[in-house]
Amino acid sequence: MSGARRCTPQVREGRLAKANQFVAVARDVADLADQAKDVADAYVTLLVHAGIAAADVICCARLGEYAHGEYAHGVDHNDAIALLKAADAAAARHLETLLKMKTRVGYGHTPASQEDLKKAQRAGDALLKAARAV
Amino acid sequence: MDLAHPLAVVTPTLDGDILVVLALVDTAFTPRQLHGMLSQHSEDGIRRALRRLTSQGIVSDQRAGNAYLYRLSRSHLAAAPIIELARMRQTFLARLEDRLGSWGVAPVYGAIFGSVARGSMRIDSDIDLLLIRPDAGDRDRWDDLVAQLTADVTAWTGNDTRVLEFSESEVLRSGRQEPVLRDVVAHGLTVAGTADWLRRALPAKEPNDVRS
Repeated sequence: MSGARRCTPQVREGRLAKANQFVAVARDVADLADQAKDVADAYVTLLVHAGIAAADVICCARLGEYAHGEYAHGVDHNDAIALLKAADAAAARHLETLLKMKTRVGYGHTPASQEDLKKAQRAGDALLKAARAV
Repeated sequence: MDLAHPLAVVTPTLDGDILVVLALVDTAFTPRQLHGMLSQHSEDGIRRALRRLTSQGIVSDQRAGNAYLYRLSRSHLAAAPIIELARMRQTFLARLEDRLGSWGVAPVYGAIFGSVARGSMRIDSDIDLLLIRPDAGDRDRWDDLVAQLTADVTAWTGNDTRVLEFSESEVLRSGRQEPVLRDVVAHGLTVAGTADWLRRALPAKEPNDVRS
């Protein structure tokens, strides 16, 4: 894959720590809000970042490289999904779910729906679980 | 056994570690890429092992420019058992989940923690299992199930199994004073319940601190 970078144990450990951190803060944000819908976009955005970090961990463990940088430029999501698919097809479907939400919740004007919240939570949890287990 | 090196149960050599990498993904690797993932071994050693495995037919090579790419030959008679062995860590976690899910007195939460979860397991490491017992339910039955599981996990792996057990109310009342539970939140491999339950049971601050 173009743009994939070679992984080191430090990268893997650091990306897993970030995935954990994003999920923990997402839950804190949700817990501290009076209504879930008040923080829906922040919550989903944090889970998207958690999912991306978790995907990097899986790719590091299985392929020795990861797609860092691709997401940051907002392009080549398909390449990132393809890379993860080579490592773990089920995880790639969860990443795809999150990346579809990324642009809309981050830059769009319509708020994330209750369904978006649930989908992001399921996908984020599954990716983090897979990242810890590899 | 060491779940991070599952083929060591049949071959304590570099060949086993290479086969694990090749078995877990259907992707071709150069020796240099494999060296990046198996940095404890030399690149020359990896090349020699790849030649041995290629001569057995279990690994196939393909020229790409000046380099050779290697992948597992998935049609080989030995491929299926090798893939099964390579997936031993996933199989172990799935088997634990299935077992705990079958209990009449289901744990509120369960997770593997310690060296297995951190990826630093050695052949003689204990297997650390956290179980949160529901406050309601038949305690004698629970104790029987835990004892049987402890014996079975040791039989599955050859490693001593250490069960760390708390009741649900203990965790809710004083769990935040237990550093080991924080470690489980950070690194645990959930095998029963949801990680979110444990995280919520261990608030980072006292409720009053949040608004102070």
